[in-house]
Amino acid sequence: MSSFHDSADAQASPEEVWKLLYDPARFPDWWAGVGTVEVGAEDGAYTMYPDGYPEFPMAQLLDTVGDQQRMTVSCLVSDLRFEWGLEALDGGERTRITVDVEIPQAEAERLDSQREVIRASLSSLAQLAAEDHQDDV
Amino acid sequence: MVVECDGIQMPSPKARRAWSLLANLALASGPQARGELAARFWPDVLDSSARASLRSAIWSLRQALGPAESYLIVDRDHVGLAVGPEVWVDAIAFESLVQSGSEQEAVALCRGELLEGFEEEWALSARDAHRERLLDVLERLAAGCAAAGERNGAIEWTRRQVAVDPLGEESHRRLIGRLAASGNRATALVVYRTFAERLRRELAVAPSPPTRELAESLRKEPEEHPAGGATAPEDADDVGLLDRARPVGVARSFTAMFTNALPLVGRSPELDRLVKIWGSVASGHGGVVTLSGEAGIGKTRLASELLARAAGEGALTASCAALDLGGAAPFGLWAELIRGLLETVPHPPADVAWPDDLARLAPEIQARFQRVVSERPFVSPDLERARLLEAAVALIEWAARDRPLALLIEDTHIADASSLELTGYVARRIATLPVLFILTRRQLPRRPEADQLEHALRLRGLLRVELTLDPLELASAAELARSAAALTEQDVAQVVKLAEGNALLTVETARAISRGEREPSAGIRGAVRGAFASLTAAGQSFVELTAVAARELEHSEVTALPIERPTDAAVQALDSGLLVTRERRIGFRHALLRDAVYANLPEPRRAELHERWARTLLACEQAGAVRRSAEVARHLRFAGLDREAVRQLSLAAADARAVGALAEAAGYLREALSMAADRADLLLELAEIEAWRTRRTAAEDAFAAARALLDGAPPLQLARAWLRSARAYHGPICVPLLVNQSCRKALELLDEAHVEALWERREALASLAWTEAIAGSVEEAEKLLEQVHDLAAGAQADDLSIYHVGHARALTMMRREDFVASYAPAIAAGEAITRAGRPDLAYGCWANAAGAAAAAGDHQRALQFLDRGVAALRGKGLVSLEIQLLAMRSFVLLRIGEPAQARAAADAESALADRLGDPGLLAMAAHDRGLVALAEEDFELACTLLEQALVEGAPISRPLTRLSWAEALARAGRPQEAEAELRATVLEPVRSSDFPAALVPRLARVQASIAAAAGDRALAVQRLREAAEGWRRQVSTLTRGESMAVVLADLGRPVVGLVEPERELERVLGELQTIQATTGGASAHVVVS
Repeated sequence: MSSFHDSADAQASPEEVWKLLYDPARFPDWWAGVGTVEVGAEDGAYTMYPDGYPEFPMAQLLDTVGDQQRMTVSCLVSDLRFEWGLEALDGGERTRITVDVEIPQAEAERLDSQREVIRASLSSLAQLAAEDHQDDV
Repeated sequence: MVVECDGIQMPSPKARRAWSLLANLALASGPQARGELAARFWPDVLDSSARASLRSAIWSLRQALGPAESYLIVDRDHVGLAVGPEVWVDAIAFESLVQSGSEQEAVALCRGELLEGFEEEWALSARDAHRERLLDVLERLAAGCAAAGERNGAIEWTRRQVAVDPLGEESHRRLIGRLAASGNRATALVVYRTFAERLRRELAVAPSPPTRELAESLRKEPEEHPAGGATAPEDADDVGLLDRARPVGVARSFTAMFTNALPLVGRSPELDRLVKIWGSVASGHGGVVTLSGEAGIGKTRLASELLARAAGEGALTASCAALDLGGAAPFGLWAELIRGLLETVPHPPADVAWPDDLARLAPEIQARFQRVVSERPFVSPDLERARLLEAAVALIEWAARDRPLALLIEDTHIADASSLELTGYVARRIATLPVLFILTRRQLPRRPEADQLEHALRLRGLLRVELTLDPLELASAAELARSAAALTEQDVAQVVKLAEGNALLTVETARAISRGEREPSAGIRGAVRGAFASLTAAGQSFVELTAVAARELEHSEVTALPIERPTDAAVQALDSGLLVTRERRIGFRHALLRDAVYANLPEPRRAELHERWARTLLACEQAGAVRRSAEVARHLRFAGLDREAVRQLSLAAADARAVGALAEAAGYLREALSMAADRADLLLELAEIEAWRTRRTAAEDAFAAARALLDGAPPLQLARAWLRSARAYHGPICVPLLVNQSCRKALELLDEAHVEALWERREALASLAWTEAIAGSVEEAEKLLEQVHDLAAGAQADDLSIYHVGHARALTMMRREDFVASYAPAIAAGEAITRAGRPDLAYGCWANAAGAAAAAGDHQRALQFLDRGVAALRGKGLVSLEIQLLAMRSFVLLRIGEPAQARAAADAESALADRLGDPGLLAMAAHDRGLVALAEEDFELACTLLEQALVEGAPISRPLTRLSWAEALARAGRPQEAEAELRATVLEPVRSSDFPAALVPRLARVQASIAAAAGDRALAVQRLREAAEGWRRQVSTLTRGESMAVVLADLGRPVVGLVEPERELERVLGELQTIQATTGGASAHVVVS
């Protein structure tokens, strides 16, 4: 099992980041490589379609980790697992977004590309949340 | 099975099959063909594989036998044990002795069941055959005695039959008949009643018509005595004990118990307070008092004084004390208390159900109230427990209806947890009744459950006084010493110095000095030695056995003690001052005296006494007394008889389960398994109980371990084990995935073995259909239901099957959003399962039907279904489920804009939760009342209630509730606090059943409320547009059927309700329109298209 950790600070409140993180319909707005999302209702399941591959559905599961304030997204097709966490900074003026990614050994060659994808996604998420936040001010 | 070589017991090999093979060879008495053995032990594999497995087992057996392997005769075609005097097998010897006419010696060889713990088909057959043979021999012996006019002998041999075959009708009829013929009609009827209760509890059936007719004929017969007009010996002893005891100062009743007791010294202030409280209680203001202090300080004496006064004023009194042995049966204290009350409580009306419910705990109740033995089937442990709790309340209400009641519960620091729970449950209902509970406890050891009970009573204002008894003052101690014995003032001073204010020690030391012990030791042990030494051997045995019993002895137990003339021995023991009688029971005057006698016993003597007492209890049970398996098991273990203890622990677990005491049941089973780890049946039972306790991991582990042990068992047996796990995961804990896997595995096994097993197949298919309907493929569910239909063609479906099918069909239809069509199967399922006596399952049917009607927008129909659910539950003691239905009622009424009615439902929910005293349910009621308050725009009240719900840990959707609270705060004009709550919301764990995506627009809407409260209307408009956008995205994706499935899978809790994006969107747009109208269409930052 390969894994890595990344984080970014957003100039936005945790609420703004949270709304983006918990709404799969908005994943295409910030998650690099996600083209479209079909949201189901049952048990947090939804389907992502990668950019450029509209016929290639990737079933996903959105869940939380125990009593921690962390949200996980597990890919039901490829066993990739993303665990997202939020931490309020400066009394909620800013938010630290963390992500831990686990990649099964069989897909270890995707480690580097996923690093890039997640770095870009974190950056987009932080920026989008900051824009929403700016709109509020 | 025990194997010995030259008198040394051999350890069993790790390979279980090898031991089983040895057992089989031992019974066969001669060589057996390899092919037959292989087929018998490995029937499901190829012949070549079976023979290879046999070779492996023989090898393991050789290793295990060590030097004794020479007795194992193995050649190319046969395997067997050597035949001859050097190999002795008890089962073979039994048969030889029977053949030679030495039947009594043959019977003496039989200790327990043949091959206990071996569950293969051949072992089961051999066990059955041996049991039948033994019964036949016992009956021959009994008949021989009867023919010779030896009535007692005939009864004894018949009792052995009943012990061998506790569910056998014929042996019980014989015992009843022989007892009646000997003049013991009452005992005969007790045997009948116990037998009927056992059948009901273990098989859920009634005795057959011939047995019932026999009992009926005995009831109608006029009282007759056997020839000579003498009362039966047991009866004579019964009368004699008390009559002989009385002249030496021992009283018959509790009230008179302290006639000769020492005066109460040094406790006047405490007694005055208690008497004052009693006066208030007797006038209808019930409550609880606690007395605490070190052992021997005088708690019991003070409490007894109060009870004696209460009884003198005409009150009913009863008392009970915890078993000082560890591992007491659940509700043991209350069983004793109920028995005490039965002596004086008048017969209740015939149409009330509570005596039948209490009979699970105290079977005597049915005979006492002359009720027909009920044949109510055992249902779920939760239901049984709920009924029992309510029945106890009903008994107390009935007993206190025309006179006050004073109840003493002693030693709560060592009481079983279930008894403490029941005490709290009943105490919560006595505020307006003339009922006083007196609880005594030592301060050490700490007992969290007792602390919690007192805390809960204190919070409710029911704890009228908490008295802690300090050591007696010097003058009082001296006065007590003088009253206890004729002493010089010098002696008195010595007693006071040694006893240090401990009342019990004062009395015992004073008596020791008066007996001539010039230098008494400073402890109770020394004082007790003197009193004990003055007894005859029989008196000492009586005292020792009472110490080992660790509780007061029932009257019937005294006469059954294995000592010469037990009644005379009892009188001696009473004379010594060590023992007293109380409510027709005999026990130590104080627990410390018991502890001292016990501590003086050398270890081997203790073990012997524990075994004798265990056998006495078993003999009493066979004679019709209450089964005390937990207690018997404890004594057998103290006696080192672990193997026998396993069976008793298994029975104790069944008894505990029957009264819903699941933690205790699991404890007994785990203890049994620690001594018999290879018992798959015990593991399966444990797994079910852990499931009822909602301990999923523990249940899964136990199921897996059981299946591993059953590896190689016949496919039907294994399939049934899988079905048991399916049942466990579809009820106590709801895990559709595991039900699905279990049912598929069961079906696979049946298919592979080509076993027809219609009943099992039907259950597996119907349960499978349910799993697919609730959390899988609707199409698959429909296919499975068709298969069930085909399988059932032509057969009369039972109510359970109708329920399974109807329930699954209704869910399938709901998933297809065919809500109205789902009513009919839901109704059929609800009615069928109500007929089957399972209101707990009926609840789910009516709740689901109500959910479907709500989803169809037919809210009046939803309310009707909820009413039917309440009707199914009414009077069944399932208060927690009634609360859930009221919560749903409140939810539906709120949804249709009837806040006043919704408030009434939520208030009723709160009142019931208060009755149960369950903090979680109280918090849930607070949540529902909070939502009503929010709808009624009583924002401050909403804030208070929703905060309470969150703080107290209600089973609700926490993030959703936080949002509601934040909304209430914002609308109450507290935007900063609302913002803080919003922050807490996003840091709150979110589960999939919270519908996270639906929380996002809800959060935006609350942000709008906060912005509006802060006067930022532009931001409010922007937030509302954001919320509208969120809901609009969901309108196209969220289907009602899927949403229903998630809610139903959680049986409606946490109440997220149906997610209705259209309605939410409409509401947000309405609010947007309102705010824009008031702001004149102020500019917005986000454009909603």
